[in-house]
Amino acid sequence: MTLASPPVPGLAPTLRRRAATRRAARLYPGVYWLGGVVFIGAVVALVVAVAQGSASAFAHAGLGFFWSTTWNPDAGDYAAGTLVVGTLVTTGAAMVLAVPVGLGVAVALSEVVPRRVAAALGPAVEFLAAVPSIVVGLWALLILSPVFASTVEPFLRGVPGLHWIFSGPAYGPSLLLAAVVLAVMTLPTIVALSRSALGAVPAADREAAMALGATRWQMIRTAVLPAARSGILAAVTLAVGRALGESIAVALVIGNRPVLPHSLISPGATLGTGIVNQFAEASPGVQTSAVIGLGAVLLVLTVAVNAAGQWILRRPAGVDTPPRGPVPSTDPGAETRAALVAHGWSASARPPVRASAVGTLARRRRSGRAAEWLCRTAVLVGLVPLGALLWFTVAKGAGAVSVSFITHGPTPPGVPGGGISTAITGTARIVGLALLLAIPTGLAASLLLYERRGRVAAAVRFAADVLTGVPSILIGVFAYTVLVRPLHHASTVAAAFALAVLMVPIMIRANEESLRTVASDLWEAGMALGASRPSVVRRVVLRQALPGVVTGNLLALSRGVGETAPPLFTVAAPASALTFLIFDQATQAYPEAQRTAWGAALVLLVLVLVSSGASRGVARYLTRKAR
Amino acid sequence: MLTLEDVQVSFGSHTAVRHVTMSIPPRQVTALVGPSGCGKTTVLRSLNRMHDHTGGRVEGTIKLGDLDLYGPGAQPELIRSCIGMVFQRPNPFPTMSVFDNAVSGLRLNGIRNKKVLRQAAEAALHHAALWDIVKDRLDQPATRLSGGQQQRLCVARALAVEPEVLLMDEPCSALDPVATAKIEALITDLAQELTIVLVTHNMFQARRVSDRTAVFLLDDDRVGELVEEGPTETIFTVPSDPRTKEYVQGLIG
Repeated sequence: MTLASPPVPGLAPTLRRRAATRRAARLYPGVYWLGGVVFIGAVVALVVAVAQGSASAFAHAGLGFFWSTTWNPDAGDYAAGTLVVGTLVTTGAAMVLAVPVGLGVAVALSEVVPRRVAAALGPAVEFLAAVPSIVVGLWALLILSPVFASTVEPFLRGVPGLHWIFSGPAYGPSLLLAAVVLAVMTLPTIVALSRSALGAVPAADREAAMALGATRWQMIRTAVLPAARSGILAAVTLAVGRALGESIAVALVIGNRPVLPHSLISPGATLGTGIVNQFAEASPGVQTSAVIGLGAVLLVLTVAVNAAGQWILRRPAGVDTPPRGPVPSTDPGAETRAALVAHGWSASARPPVRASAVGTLARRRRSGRAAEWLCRTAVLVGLVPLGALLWFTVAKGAGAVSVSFITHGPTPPGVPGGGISTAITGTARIVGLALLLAIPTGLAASLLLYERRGRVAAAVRFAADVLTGVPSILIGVFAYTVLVRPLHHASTVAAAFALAVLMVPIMIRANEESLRTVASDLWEAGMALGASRPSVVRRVVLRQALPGVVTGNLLALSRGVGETAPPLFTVAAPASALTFLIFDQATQAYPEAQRTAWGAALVLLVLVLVSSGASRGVARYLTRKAR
Repeated sequence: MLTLEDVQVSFGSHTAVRHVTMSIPPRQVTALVGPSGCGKTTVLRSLNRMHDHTGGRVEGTIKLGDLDLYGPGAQPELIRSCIGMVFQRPNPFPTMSVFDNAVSGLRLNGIRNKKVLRQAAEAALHHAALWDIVKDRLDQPATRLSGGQQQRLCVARALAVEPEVLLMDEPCSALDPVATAKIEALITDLAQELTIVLVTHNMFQARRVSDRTAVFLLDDDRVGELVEEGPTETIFTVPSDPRTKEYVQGLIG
């Protein structure tokens, strides 16, 4: 009996037919190579576009562009120094607010509060992560800013000893308000990543501390926090990266004054807001190049910070391999006991452990309780902005939303009765088209990562890491320079392209992670049945990974729906995308415009929540079905 | 003297082990043996209230001398500083040096005096037969030691707090035979001044190192129970309970 002549009648033609499908399967590597190459190409194009676009500004100002503080359109002198300072100051202040609170919330949820409470609060924090930044910006501009002008800033100005950071007139929009917005937006990142780092500390470490007589807080401080420190550091680094690049919400509340800040309550500007405000008005030539140059500086900053964060996150935990080779043996026995006595192991010389344990217990418990209460307070502090944000968006938005608001198009400024139908359909078109571009590319590129280990795979992974950290505003600028400007035509396609560039790295990571969870023996089982690799991937691996893939892609979708920068740079009118519409209406003084902004924000929030909720629901459904 | 009276431990609605009544004499090695899942580790962990944080409910009475471990005035932290524990897998604090690991228990119990810490670390490391190996590398991360050395560091860490009782939960299960022999020698040595309660699935080990042995088996309801307890020689040669005989002889032949 040979393989060439199967004994079963009818099997031979079947196997021949299989051979045909195997020929088709030869296309499979072509597909994933193409996905990877397209993706790398897009990232390279982005970097080249930013570099090329900013070349003449750098030629004009030299390396001084990074730190010189002149921005003088009349003389044609441009440099990023002022905005770099503004960016660093707002990010720094945001971290001063967000890191202690975020860490406190993470410790509280992971270690202190009862598991049931944590299970209820955890999703609330994740929910905050899903709120589009434009909604946070709207809330900060229309609700927080007046309170800052009337109460918060005058109060801070009066605090003795803080005059050096809080001085000058209280306008509302300020570096401080921008920092608060950034803190609210980065808090969920810090909480979620720190919490998973804390949760990953093995029970054995905790029990080691407990078995020595530690109180709960001592256990947290001695065993849990040190073991989680690199995860926490990564969380903070990634939050810093996000804060550096967040532009549009910040542009709403920072006051946009490109001068060196002398006080936290004075208006200022960041690299991102500089781009938002000057891109449209910049005259062609050196000024446009200078604005893109701001983007180049921002790119360098955020990519460096994010690379550091990714590196910390991926670095294997600080476990050294034990030395190999023979271990010098010492036999515990009589000589050990003699040595003990020689080294003072007698009753009188023993350290007074028991007395100290008893004597310090009350104090140890007291300080532990105080620390744990601080963590619980952090939860409250963290929940306040979440509650306020939700409350105002729903309360203000509900007043604006009606059937005609959703089904009617916009009216001219000041004319009542306008709606957001064009923005809803515009967003749907942009997002739909972006998904058509992004899903195949993301899937193909992640299959490349799954199948190959060579240089191209490394390049794809690196490009995905870089792109995850690139601020969305830069991607908007990129789409503008490669699609809008050369064609002289703002378009949905350009917006969809920008959005796809934003979504693909998210999808690649999620897809790769779910592909990796498929047990290797499963596809070995498929291969052993004589199936070709592509059909094993399609029928076994992808089917098994499907819940994760769908979840990841839907999460990318929910992020895409809420992005403002891609449409801002690529579509002609605010009314062709929800986020652009909110940005536009929020800054207009008419009460009608603000009503429209709130209504659109509520609709956007619902869309985002539905898609992120759907991603969980679908994942759960598919996982259950797969069992 | 540790005394257990009708101790029962349950997790939610599931009872893990019940009807445990025994005395653990001071300065001897008492081995808890039995098949997996019969509750020997559960009983061990009830002796220093480790179940407080894992949701186990302990009923019955456990006393150390006159102190009721689950009585109204009992402080879990102080109980654990009197009754130390060594775990299945070596678990030195991975971010600490050898020295910091050795004195971690003292620091946790409020001792700050550097000279005292230094002296105690040296004594405890001697006691755990580790001093000669680590004296020149006290500042290195504890994770750089071999598995057996890490486990002895964990013993040293527990000893530094000067417990009256040391609970050892299968301390050799993650170690090779050479390291196991060292830990066993250490156990015998330590029993001269400490009470040791040792959980082991290895009957040879129980016979080699313990003075007394308690046999745990699953009853008809699949709940662990204490079948028989007494001097190790008696348990292994002339057990009074037929189930003990079957179990012990089935494993030793």
